[in-house]
Amino acid sequence: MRFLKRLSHMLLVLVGVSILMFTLVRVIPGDPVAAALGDGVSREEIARIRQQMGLDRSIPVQYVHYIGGILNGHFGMSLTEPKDVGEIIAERLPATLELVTVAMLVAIAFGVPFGVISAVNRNGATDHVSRMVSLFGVSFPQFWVALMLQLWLGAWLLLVPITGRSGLPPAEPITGFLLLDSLLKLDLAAFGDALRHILVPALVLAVGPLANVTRLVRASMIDELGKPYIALNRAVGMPSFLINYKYALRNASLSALTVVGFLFPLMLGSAFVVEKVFVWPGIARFGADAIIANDFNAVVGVALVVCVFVVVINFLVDELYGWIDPRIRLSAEP
Amino acid sequence: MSSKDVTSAVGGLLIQSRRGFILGGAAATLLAGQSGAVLAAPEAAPALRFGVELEIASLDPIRSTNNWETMLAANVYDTLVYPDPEKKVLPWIAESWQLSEEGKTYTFKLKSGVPFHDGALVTSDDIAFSMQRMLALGGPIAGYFHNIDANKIVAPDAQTISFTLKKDDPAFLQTLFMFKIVNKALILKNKMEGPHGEFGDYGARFLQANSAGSGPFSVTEYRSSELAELTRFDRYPFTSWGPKNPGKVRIMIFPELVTIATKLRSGELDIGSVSIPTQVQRQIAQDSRFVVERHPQPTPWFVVMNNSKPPLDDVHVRRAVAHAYDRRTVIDHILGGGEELRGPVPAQILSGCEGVDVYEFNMDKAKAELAKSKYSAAELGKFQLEIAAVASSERFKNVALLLATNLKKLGINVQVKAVRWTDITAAQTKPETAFNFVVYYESPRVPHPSQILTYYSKSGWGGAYPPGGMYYDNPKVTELIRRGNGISDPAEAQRYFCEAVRLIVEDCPAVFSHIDVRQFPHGRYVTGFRAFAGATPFDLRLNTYEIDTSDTAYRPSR
Repeated sequence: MRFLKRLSHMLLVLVGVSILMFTLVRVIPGDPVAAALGDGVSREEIARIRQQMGLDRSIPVQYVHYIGGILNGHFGMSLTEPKDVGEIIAERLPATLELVTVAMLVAIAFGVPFGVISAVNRNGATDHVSRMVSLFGVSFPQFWVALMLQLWLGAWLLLVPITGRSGLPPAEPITGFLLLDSLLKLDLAAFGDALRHILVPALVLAVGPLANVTRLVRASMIDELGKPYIALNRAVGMPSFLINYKYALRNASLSALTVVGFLFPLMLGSAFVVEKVFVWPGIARFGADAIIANDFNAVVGVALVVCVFVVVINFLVDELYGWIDPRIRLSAEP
Repeated sequence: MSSKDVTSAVGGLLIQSRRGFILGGAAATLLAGQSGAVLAAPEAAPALRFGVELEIASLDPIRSTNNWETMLAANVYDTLVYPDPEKKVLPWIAESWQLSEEGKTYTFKLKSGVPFHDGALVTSDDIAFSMQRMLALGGPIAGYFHNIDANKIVAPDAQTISFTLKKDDPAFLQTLFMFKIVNKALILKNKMEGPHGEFGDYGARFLQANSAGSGPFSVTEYRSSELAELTRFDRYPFTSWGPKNPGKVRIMIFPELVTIATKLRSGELDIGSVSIPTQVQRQIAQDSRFVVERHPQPTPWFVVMNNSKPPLDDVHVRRAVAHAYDRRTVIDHILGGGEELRGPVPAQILSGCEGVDVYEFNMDKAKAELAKSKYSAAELGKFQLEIAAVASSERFKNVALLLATNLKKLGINVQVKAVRWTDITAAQTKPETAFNFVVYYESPRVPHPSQILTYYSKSGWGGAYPPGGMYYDNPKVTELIRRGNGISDPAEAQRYFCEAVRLIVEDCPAVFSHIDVRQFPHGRYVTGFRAFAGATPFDLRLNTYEIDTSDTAYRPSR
């Protein structure tokens, strides 16, 4: 019952976003059809294409047709790439998901321990270093960090490739995630190549979230470590590692989980800077270009996909709350 | 108009290409019966690595819009005729043509034995199909061919094709530079379901990501937004391949221009995009490993003015604006190169026009013109004008800023607006919404004056393009353009066009800035660049390029 209620809320959000985005891109000024066709094209040709795309109908009628198309798996034709938007999204989404997932893992894998270590060594040297690194992460613009790492690691030290997702000929995809596909095929060379390509872009994308996670975990841990049960655990001789990571961190992780919950879809949409600089063939870059070109089917399509991830991940985060803190689950049950 | 045999006697150029053609044609005939594509390049032939910033969204030649899509189409496909800066039009796939008495029917005789990449030979059937396909599917290129009567495309035999126009058009032959010949059999073999009867989707899905041409290269790998790899076609009859000619061309897409410059410097690219910022190109040029190739292009830059809205409805105000435009600073400092533009049509397209004024940068002359205008200084000061520059371009914005700063000194308030291209083109369609000024440049696809001059009469009003918002009208100019368009003799037509240009410059409906100098940064070991070849982008036909891999500056791919 609770699940169905949550599902209905998710659907309502999706419908609301679709109506908002659909209407917005159609009412803002600009004729993307004329711009896409270029100069020298007659008004009749522009009118013909507009009619072909259904743009001569009223917005509510267009919306109904659009939703009908989505239910049949068609997201409408892109103006910049003469293909169905759904097809383009399907091609590019795995690249962005892989990039964001790896970035998120880096952010959590380093951010959580940094936060714990900082909190445990509060006001010590480690804490100061960790806080400076966090400040760096939230202060420096992503594009600057990307270009600097590209120059330093790729062009000067020649350690990693500076663009693209793979240096090998394209293989038949299984999941579309190159790291996973190469492992499934037991192709270590392909895995190594994919890892070398994703390392720096993921690092750049992870810098901001890593800083946020570190600061949040540090603050929550400091809070937890000041509570009486921690003092009791220390008094009875429990090892520090157990106190910090099994008991304190578990209680401190709820706020970090909230941040992770909204960071993932945020990174999905904001990865376009990284995708542009590193020529990563993902959906974020496609979405950013679509906004500039007013390619409305593409804009709505990308917005809907990001929205789906937002609602799904929020749902998962809510469920995880209950798992981490049983009090939340028990209080929610009728 | 009498029927004329317009077969061109080209001399040396045709003999050389004919020798190559005869050898290639014989080989093609011998090999024509073999199945499968013969695309292998010699193993030693180097790969040319080209970095570009704009995406190649489709390989279909009828969908090419940006520079790199048109460059790719020019390398993969052939045309009936070929551009030449002196002779204007040369035979290519067509060896000769005739124009009917009434001047509307062009009949082309085709060369025999010209192979497609898969070995099949080019025939009139392919040409008829290519034209019908383009007209049926529409798109940016088809817009130039609406004058063709689609019901009167006739192929009486395998080597003859005729097109009948709805009305005569002296620029038709030049327009054919954009018409690419596709392989009918290959496309129909790969057609999908569609609304065009027996032709299905006309191979739209197939050509989106594959090629079906006869040009010097064929597409062997394509990943949209990343890479298009071309492999040379050894049996191409119009070129003699040497060991230094590229065996492959890798056109790699990097949305960040700085990344292209980085990759060029690190030896991962051989040629960088023309759009790399001027300061970066200057730095690259200081490195002895690189050269910046500079060639004037018939790409005129303008600041278009909305002649229908006050105060630009006054010719003296417009002339004042022209005198306030600092052309030299724009060319030397903002854009890093260019040559003065005399009137709306570049000299490479319309040469020999005498008595055409140029409005030199002179603030005193600007003030003198303002004094003659019907608006007082106080009235001029009340106008809040806008100058639109394309949002994604730093250079456009800087040009707009320079002009706005100088106009401010004259008491004319202008605000610079960075606007999306789609918003500019939409705004220009109505006189009340068209911007007061728009900075833009023209890349004429058809090297004929009519393509540019069409906007200097009412027929160009309201076009979804910056000059569509000029709303300029001078009946004398309109009549001169009409007369020039009705004459097929280029020398005779030139007289009318030149007189129209002279009057246009007098009326000053736009600021005529300069023509671009295309600047390509590349490794010094790459040669074969050509200056303007008669039409863009035929100077970017890569079969003439050579790579000296023995040069120490060359670094093979890692």
